[in-house]
Amino acid sequence: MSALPLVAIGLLLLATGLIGFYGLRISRTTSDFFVASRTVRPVWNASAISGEYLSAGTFLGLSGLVLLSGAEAFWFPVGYAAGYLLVLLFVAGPLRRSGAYTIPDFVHARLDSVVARRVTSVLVLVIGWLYVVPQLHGAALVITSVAPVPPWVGSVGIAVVVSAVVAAGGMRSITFVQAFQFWVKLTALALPLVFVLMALGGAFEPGGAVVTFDPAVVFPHDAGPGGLDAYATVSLLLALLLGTTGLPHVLVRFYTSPDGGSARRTTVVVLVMISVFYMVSSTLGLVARVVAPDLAEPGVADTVVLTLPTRLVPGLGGELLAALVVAGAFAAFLGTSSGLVVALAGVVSQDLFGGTVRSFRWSAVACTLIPLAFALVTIPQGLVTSVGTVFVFAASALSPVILLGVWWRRLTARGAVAGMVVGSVLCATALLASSALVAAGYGAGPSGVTADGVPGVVRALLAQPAAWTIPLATATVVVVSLLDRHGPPLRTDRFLRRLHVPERRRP
Amino acid sequence: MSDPDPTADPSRPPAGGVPATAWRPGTQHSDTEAVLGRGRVRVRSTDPWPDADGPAGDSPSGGSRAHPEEGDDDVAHYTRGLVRAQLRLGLACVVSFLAVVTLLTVTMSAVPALDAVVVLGVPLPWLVHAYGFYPVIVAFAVVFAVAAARNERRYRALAEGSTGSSEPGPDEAGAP
Repeated sequence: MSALPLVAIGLLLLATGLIGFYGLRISRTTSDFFVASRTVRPVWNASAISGEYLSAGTFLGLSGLVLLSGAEAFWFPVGYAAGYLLVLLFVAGPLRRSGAYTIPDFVHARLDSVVARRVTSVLVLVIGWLYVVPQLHGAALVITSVAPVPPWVGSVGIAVVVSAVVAAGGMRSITFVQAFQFWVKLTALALPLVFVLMALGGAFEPGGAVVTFDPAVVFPHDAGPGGLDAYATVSLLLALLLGTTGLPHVLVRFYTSPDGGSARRTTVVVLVMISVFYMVSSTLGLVARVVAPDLAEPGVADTVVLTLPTRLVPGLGGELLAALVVAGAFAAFLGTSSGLVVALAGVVSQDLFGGTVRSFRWSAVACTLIPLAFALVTIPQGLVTSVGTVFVFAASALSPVILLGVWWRRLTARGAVAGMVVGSVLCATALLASSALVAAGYGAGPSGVTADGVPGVVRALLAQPAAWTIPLATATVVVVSLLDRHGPPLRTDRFLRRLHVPERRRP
Repeated sequence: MSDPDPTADPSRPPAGGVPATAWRPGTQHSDTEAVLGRGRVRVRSTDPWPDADGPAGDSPSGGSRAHPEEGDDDVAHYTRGLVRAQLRLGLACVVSFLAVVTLLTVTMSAVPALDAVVVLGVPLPWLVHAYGFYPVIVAFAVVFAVAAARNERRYRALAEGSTGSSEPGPDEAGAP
């Protein structure tokens, strides 16, 4: 095993630490800590948002899943990007104008209800923790493939760095760190991709021998778009579209834009940036099917991106590229985890400790330790599907309330609480039941209709519950709100005006 | 946009014809932001809305005045129009986006003949699935951002016209 990947990780951590320290020197106030004082410029902010959004799921997991199960994997990045489009269409501007720091702040302000705020806080924490876990699993996976150490070293290492950087610098330094990490991630996939494609074209072979393969074998019809399962696809896309709206670290980012209009412009730039990244990552998935069919096994497939450069590019060049990919992977774990921990620590410190800087720091440490403990006792599943599951839960539990909160004036606190409880309980039950069935050997697909007494339809509904949990949660919110004799809070109209009326122009 | 254009109403007072009122677009924002926007950072409690006025924390010129003045009804009317226009725009975008996505998906999955078209070793449906959706997403994002900003510009012009601005505050210097 070469020492180069470890050197690359070391350099990345050093750079992260330096940028974080630079942030520490300029973060002095409480609002610096929470939202970078809302003065981050659109391009910086867009890089930071993209850096935070591109997680282990799409850096490693996407090409792994393309290799393992074919074109259906492409739905994940398409859904993540389309989810951002929905954020832009319905919540980016209004949420920026709400003046709230966190999602619970927004719900509290909109509904004037402490109970609704507490329920939202709990859900935000669950979603955030669930999202950090795959990042830590990814770190464990990568560290074992580059060094002879036990997997927990990777998870614990990431957790220590994240809690240290967040506790030290808050949102302002995290913004710089994540903007830097976006460019690391993009370079770490795009540069190796260039060399890998050159290798496939015969650039490194004596005589320029082009790699040949049979498209019908490498890209069979059944594993391609022709073999898609209609229900699973629709349900998954619904979850990914709406789930982004309910992610804690996505919404808190809009509060770092100076105004609603710039929040929208930032989101457009983010969409361009993440689309480019997803296309690069998807291309590596296609290459993986050509070059590394031997790695198409659950648990191993997610490491395929790490192995492509050394397989195709000979000598030191291949090793350097592989080291770059490892650094990019760690940037992905760090970027997403630190963004989540900032958002979660903001929620915990405001809800429990009155929002001081000191409590923010301790909350950051606590919000890293809990998912770390969870990551250490669970077995890594496919990275991209683990992240997808978080979207399903967020879309069922929080998104209906956020969307209706921005656009429907009749929403009441009771309606919101009922909807959040119904959505989260139904979704969690379905997902747990589905994984229990899979663990018992039933499989999750719709095939084998009545295997051992559990109809395939039921298994499909449980495996992809979004198509029924989101409508049920939304219906609950609407019905309970309409039946609520207290009606919407008195200040609703004023608050909604604040959300939708553009800011005064700055001179 | 097909929403009725309130400027068509001839009975509306001309811009600047009414004395300045307390209402100005955007003055509902907290003073913290005004300070932050100018590069100075003011420390304040992290509880965003410590005052009894609640979360919407209006500055003194906000909604809860004792003497509502002329122009308020118009502004409320324009505000409702703005909210409806933005919602309609968002829904139109999402519906047409979903239509395009459905069309693309059905085409790439239900036309077997496309499998025979191989570009750089990859069948066309795979390429469409890997790359085809992102340009659509970005195109809708750009269209929405431009249209939403236009809705807000129109609102601003109407609201400023109806409340008058003979004494623009320092924040509005340079605004047309």
